[in-house]
Amino acid sequence: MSDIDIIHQAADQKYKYGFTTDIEQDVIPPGLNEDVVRLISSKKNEPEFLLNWRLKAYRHWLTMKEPDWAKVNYPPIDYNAISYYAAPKKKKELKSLDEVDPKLLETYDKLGIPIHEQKMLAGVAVDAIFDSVSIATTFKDELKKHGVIFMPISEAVREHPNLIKKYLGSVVPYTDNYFATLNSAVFSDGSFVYIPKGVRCPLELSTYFRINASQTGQFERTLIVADEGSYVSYLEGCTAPMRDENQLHAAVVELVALKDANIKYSTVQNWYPGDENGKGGIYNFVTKRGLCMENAKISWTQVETGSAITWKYPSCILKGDNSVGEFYSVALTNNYQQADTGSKMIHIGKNTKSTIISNGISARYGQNVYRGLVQINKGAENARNYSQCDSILIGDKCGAHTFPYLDVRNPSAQVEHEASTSSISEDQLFYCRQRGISTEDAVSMIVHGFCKNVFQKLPMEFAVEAQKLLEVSLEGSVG
Amino acid sequence: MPKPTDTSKILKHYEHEFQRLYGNSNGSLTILRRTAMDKFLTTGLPTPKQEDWRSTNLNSIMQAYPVASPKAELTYFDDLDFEYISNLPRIVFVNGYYTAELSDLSNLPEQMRVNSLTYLLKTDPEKLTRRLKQYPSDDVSVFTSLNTALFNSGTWIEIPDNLPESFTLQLINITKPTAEQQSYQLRNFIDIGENSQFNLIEQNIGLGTETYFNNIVTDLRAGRNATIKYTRIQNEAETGNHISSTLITQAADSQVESMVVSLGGQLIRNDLEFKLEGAGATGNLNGLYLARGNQLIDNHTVIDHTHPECSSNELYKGILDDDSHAVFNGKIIVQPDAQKTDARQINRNLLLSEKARVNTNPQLEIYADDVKCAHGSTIGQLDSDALFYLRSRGITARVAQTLMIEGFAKEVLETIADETTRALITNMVNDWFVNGNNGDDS
Repeated sequence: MSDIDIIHQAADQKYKYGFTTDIEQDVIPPGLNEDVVRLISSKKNEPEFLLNWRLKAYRHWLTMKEPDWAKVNYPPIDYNAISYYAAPKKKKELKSLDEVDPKLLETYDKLGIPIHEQKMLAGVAVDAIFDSVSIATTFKDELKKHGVIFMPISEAVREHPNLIKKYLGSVVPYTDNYFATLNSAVFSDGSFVYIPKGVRCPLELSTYFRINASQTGQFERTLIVADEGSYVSYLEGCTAPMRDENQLHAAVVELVALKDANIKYSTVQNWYPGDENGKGGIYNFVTKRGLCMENAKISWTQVETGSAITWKYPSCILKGDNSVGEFYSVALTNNYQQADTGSKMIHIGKNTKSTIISNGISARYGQNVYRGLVQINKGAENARNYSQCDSILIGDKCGAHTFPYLDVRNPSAQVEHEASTSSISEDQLFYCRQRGISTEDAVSMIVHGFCKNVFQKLPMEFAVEAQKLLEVSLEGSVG
Repeated sequence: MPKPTDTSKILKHYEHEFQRLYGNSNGSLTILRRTAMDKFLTTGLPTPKQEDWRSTNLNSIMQAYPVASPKAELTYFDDLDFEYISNLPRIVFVNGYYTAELSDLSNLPEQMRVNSLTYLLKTDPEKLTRRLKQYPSDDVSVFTSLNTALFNSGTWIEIPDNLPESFTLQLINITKPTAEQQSYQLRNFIDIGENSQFNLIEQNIGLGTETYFNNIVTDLRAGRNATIKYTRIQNEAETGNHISSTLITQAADSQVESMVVSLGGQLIRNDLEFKLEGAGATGNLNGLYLARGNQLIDNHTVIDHTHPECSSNELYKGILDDDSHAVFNGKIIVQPDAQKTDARQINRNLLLSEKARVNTNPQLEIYADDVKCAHGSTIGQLDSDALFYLRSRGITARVAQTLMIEGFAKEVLETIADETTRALITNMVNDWFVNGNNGDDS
């Protein structure tokens, strides 16, 4: 069939962002033990409390077992074969972009992040992370005016130790789960955001991640604290260079939304997914969780198109009365990609509300799992949840699975879950083709329509990128 | 929580029971039983760490229950209070013992075979061995292994091919223990031939105040183009524990409709699996569970679509009052070859009290692309606007509530096509409503 030809032909589309930059790096030898933890901490000039916290996490990690409940398959990871720290060797303080290594700037250009044009770009401050150390931070002054703190977490540890002490590990404790505990022990860097009381952050904050040095696990740690009545929108996006060896990425994101605060966290994830035979690709094992106090709101939006394996459940703990949690997701698995993703909504406060919209697209041999939990605790009077998980299957070798868990302990709760799985119907395709639209475009249109409800939730700058990304990823699967 | 030492004591107890009952025999059936017993011993009793048992508190059966042997214990039956449809044939067991005084098998079609397993175990154990070997031995629940090792009663039903007209049989298992802490290991084999139509109404009724544990395994096979309605009413005593595993295997173009009503008991766990093993098979699963007090009612269903053009439709509804807890776990699997599958599943729960709790996990596992699958799950309470509307028309709060609860249950009851069966179940459900919070003696 010609449709199949188109699918196969297009499936050979290569990963567009596969390139690496040769920059000398400061890498510690592979292996993990207490000394490595101490070394990471000393390289970063960390205060005593953080080293102790890392060590506690490391010792706890030794007692834990790697989880195996997710519906993903991968060869066992040798945690001693990974190097836990990599930093570009050139490490002097940079005052302007001219001082940045031109090779780095070139990399950003290829990725479509023209740093030197950023000031002209509409209101986006980028804290660009090249491997594990932050190189350039822009728009700092403007944020400073509003009292917003936006800096690499390694700097924040030194400059705002009290905030870090208070909030680091407050939502995702170092004992939380295997990968989060590992992250707590060896986290390399990440972003720290603090929005003071009543401030509406004037810019969309954004971080670009990029894994560069081969065999370097990336252990990002992000902490966002929105003080009472504040608002922030945070964008996270990533592309990774083409690599044959699997690279482990175990990030932790913690959000704290105090009374009346509002955090919008958007992700476009495009790590290297492996080639068409399932060779290589990133293992993306991420713990993301937000805490909502009274009247607060946290909204997670994610577009997941990359990674060989995605293991990720952005969650909201709705602790305060009237708090709101939202989760909007598009997850695409093509070739041999596997995704086990979803959300957890824990309702503790009264009148709490949560919404889960999850769209999964599986193509070729891709396996896509929605796994979620909605828990209504005894005291959560009048809690409300609505979940909708839809899946599209493209090709007869892929799989789509739905595993929602609903645990309700309060009769006043209203919880609804709906899920459906189907292929793109022949009628739909026929209708489009009959109007002169090629199969390729028709499938693309239908999938776009399918994901629209999530794309609408993304900030404008991101929505464009996400659409593009999906198109590229789809080209490799449907035509 | 039972301590690990307790569990090993229980395992030892069942091994002891095995030795007591079958230690001296060495037929092929005993070899099969021994394998199952070993499997039970190595697997051990379930813990909340196991995905299939994570929300199910099994404390009430984590004790050493002696296995009751079926015998004529009762001579006086007048105080056995149970409902049945009087003009339909019935086979009645009391504590696993076939009781002719209560049964009526006068109108059975000639070609049909109905036996008690106790009889077959004595006369033709080879037949049972052959049949058991057809049962999948891997991936069965640990309670099925226990049952295979120890079963000593139950029913054998064989319906020939091309039965000219639809036939209904009532299977009534009454449990009225004569000693404390008895366990009853029942096994049912039901084979329905090609093109035949068969209705089975099974009732599990518990009487008395002794604690007991029913472990029931049913294996039903539907031949090509057979039509089967399988209604199952569980009305155990307040002190009764009921674990059941039912496997329904369907050949091409067969239609099976199951209806599982759970009313009584302390701990209820129903595992129901449909295997659609021929093209064009249809499986419909309906269920209603009503729980109060500190009852736990757990329904696990699996629908395995292995062939193309099959469809399944599932509707389970639950009403929960007091401290009760319900678990619903429904899995739809669509295997790579099962193109053109149409599978639907709905679970709805109504919570009537502050302390009632529901865990519902509808699951889809889909490996084929040309399919239509959907599931939905809701948990809620009575709509206050609707209540207000009724009360504004002069209806008392209590009556208004009852009306709405009945309306909620009605959707499931209406799936029962046969009027007499529906009337029987509706009666029981109404009794449950009327009993309210004042205890629900069977």
